[in-house]
Amino acid sequence: MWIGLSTFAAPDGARVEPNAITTRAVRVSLFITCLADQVFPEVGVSMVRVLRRLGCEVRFNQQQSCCGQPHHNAGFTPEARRVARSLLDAFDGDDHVVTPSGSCAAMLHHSYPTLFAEDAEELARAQSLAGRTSEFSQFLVNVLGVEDVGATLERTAVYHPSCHGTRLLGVGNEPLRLLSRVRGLELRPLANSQDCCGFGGLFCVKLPAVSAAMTSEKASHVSATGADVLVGTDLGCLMNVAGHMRANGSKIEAMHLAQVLDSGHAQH
Amino acid sequence: MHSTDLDFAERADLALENQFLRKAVRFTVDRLRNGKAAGSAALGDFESWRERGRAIRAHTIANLDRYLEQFCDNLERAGGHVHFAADAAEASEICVRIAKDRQAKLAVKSKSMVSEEIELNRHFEAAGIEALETDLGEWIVQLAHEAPAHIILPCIHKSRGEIRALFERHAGAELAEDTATLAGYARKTLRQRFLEADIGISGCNFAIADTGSITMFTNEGNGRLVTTLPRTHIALMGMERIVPSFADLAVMAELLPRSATGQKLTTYLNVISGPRRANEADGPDELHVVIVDNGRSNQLGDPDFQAILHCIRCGACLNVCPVYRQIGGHAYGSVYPGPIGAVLSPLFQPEQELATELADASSLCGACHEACPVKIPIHDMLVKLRERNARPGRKSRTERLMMELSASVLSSPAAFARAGRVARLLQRWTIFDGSRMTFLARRIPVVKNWLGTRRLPPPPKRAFRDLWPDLEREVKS
Amino acid sequence: MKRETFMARVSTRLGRARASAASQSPSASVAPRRSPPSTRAELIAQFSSELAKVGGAVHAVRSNSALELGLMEFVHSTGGRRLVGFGKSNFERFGFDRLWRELDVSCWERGDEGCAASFRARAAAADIGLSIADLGVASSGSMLFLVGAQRPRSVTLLPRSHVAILTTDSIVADLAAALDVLGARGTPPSSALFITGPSRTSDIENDLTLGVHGPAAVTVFLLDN
Repeated sequence: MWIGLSTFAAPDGARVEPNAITTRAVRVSLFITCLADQVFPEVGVSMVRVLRRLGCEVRFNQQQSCCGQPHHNAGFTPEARRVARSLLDAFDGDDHVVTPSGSCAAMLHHSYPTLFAEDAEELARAQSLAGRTSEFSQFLVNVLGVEDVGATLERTAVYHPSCHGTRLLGVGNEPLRLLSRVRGLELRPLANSQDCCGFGGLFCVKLPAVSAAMTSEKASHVSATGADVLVGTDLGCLMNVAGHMRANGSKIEAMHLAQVLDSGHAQH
Repeated sequence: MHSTDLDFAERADLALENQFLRKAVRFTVDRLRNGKAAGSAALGDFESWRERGRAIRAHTIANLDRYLEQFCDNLERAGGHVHFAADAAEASEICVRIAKDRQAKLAVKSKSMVSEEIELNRHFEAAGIEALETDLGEWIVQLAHEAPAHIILPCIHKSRGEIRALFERHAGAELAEDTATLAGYARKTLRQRFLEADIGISGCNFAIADTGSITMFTNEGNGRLVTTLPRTHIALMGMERIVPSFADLAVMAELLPRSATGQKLTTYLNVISGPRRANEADGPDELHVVIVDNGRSNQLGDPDFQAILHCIRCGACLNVCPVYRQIGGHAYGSVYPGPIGAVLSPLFQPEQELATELADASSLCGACHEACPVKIPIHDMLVKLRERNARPGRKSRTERLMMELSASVLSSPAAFARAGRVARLLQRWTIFDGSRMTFLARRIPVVKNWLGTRRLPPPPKRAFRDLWPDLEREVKS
Repeated sequence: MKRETFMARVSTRLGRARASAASQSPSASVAPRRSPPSTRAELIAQFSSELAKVGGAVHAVRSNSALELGLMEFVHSTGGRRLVGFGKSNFERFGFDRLWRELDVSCWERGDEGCAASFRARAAAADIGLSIADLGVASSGSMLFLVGAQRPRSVTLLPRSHVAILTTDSIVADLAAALDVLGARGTPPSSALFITGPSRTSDIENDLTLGVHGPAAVTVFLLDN
């Protein structure tokens, strides 16, 4: 049985000593997302390490694939439901579900209720899953009550707040609070940070020129900061913006928040 | 003007090549959205005001029949005439008939999106009546034989030089390029026409059921001239543009100008309740309000789309939309551009090609919903429209096949894991080897497009699910 | 289309046979209110600063004679010659004397159609419109003008310069309060006009310019009574 939230609520700003909570294991089931699983597995590895340092018992169910968002957003609702159903199966139970994507978490929170509206039993399972699912930064700050995870990274970074995470899921300043506690990290503000980076899943495939124009503007704002690391909570956006910048000669590196928070620790 | 036989992507590509347009659009929307941020902050507790606005609009639309009845009764009592138009053609017919019955030669117009929607100018011209736009931006657009590029700022795509050239051609004389000279020319020229006009045509921001009033929020004053000088005033009103009472107007009047430009109130808010009365020096002898359906009532009772009738046409969603920001209004090819247009246009004109393509003109970033002063879930509606478009027979068979195939793979985790292994292996040889596109990839347009503008790290050898057994052991040791 | 047919379609789409009585509009129940200025002095200060922000000018005067003198000086300073005004009876309470004698003011007095046409011509040719505001709105620097038999629309619209008299006891906190007052009067006038500063447009390359159609200058004589 996992421990109630209040047990972990650290006083604002207090550093949670990893060892202090290892004995009270919070059970976390990792929703890796199809993109991180297949293309950015190192992000999953970092998440696991950060969560374990904070005393979580991390599990991974191989029976997961995708949340169905690509199909849902394209209007292929029955297909989306089919894919989403497999996720309901993979995350039955009462573990916290944590995911490195604000967009996928938003799919569960925002779209599953309408996707499963017609079947009461499925709707209940979907609501249970949504209720247990957090985006990574939200889980650390709002569930575990942690802001300082003891990371060190001597770099200059800029944070891109992804649209679905902020607008549909409600991620606020959690990532910034976590980043502000990383030793050595200089965080620079990003102009027009609220504007979409142009990724939008299939959008960037269907309207490549419009997407590229959007990405190009985002890239110019990122470049202007002089940062050498672009940090975010959604791999699609990171891949899109950093990929665009590197194609234009920039040396910028994209890092998921989990990778930043996993920095500066002796690896196992 | 973009040719309508181009599809959205082609029109967008054209817009992207127009560097003046792109710079002007970005500058304008930045000004407007910064204005909105300041204006809503000045009000304080803007979220409560939004919620209040949403509640008023939802209540009004849910009781639209009752409030329309009440409005019509009260307007008639105040001496106004009410007309009902089922569609664009009927709305134009009514206006043309009123004008012809009065032997009108000239109609002066203030800004009305409904008049654009029903193509009133074209119908007036066909009937031999001049329809003159008098909002400065609308007049410029009319002189250029174009369509408005933004709901509240129609000519953001026109440079000062282009405007001067249009005015010089109109004047048959040379003019200086400064704003005061150009605006002064418009004042002088149009003032004379106002005094000659037989008919004034306006829009209506909100009708008020309780008093039978129509209201207009304007800045230039042409809306007042149109409703003061000609003997006959025709107001075009979308059937949903109504609120119950002055108390509701007080809320909407705080939301509309702030959301549109950041102003606390527009220069003029005119609450008109009937025509000129006995012994009044000026004002129209007749007031006609034309209530237009044109696809709106189809949304009533539809749980997915009824809320689109809550829209108050402030344009805030255009100003935050990252797609509009890059391409401006004309690429949408519809009367209403931007996110609201991408929803309104296919709903009002479901038979047209717009129905299928505009729904895709969004990255679903949700900025439109966030900016909307009455909280319309525009991004959800775009998904619902895509759902309609995805019905068998409406989308390309390739897309349907891809979607069905990928759903089959993704809904089976075992198949997904296998497919992932194969894909990662194959793609090194076929698509991208970590530093460059392969010969094959360069021949697949979609892949070439995507990878041509983005450099990706080399694909991993193993997926996370393949690494998990080691990670699991890590903690046990 | 017939009204019955039009309305029947609305009711049918909403899932009922015909329009039914609606519940109370939610505007009253969910009511975020700003904290309005409480004292007269605060209302005056807010009105003046908001009007100044949108390009209006405010002159505070403390007596009828100061008002008359101020108006005359203002007219002379603008070089304006022809004035058009609300009906003279509106101004009786200010006891103007020299102003009527020394300035060329055409006031509207009720009359036949011929008068209306000639008044319109005079208003169109006038340099300055002289009016009296019914209310001031502190939160936005707006003034409310209720059109009526002695209060023509053209005076506040056609001349390039608009001068209004506003008494300080008629400033209310916000638009909601102003609309409350308007609603409480019963049948609204044929036109109730809220005017907030001079006519403006930014249609040419986002460059703000005043007076494109309506008055380019709005000047308020704020009489403390």
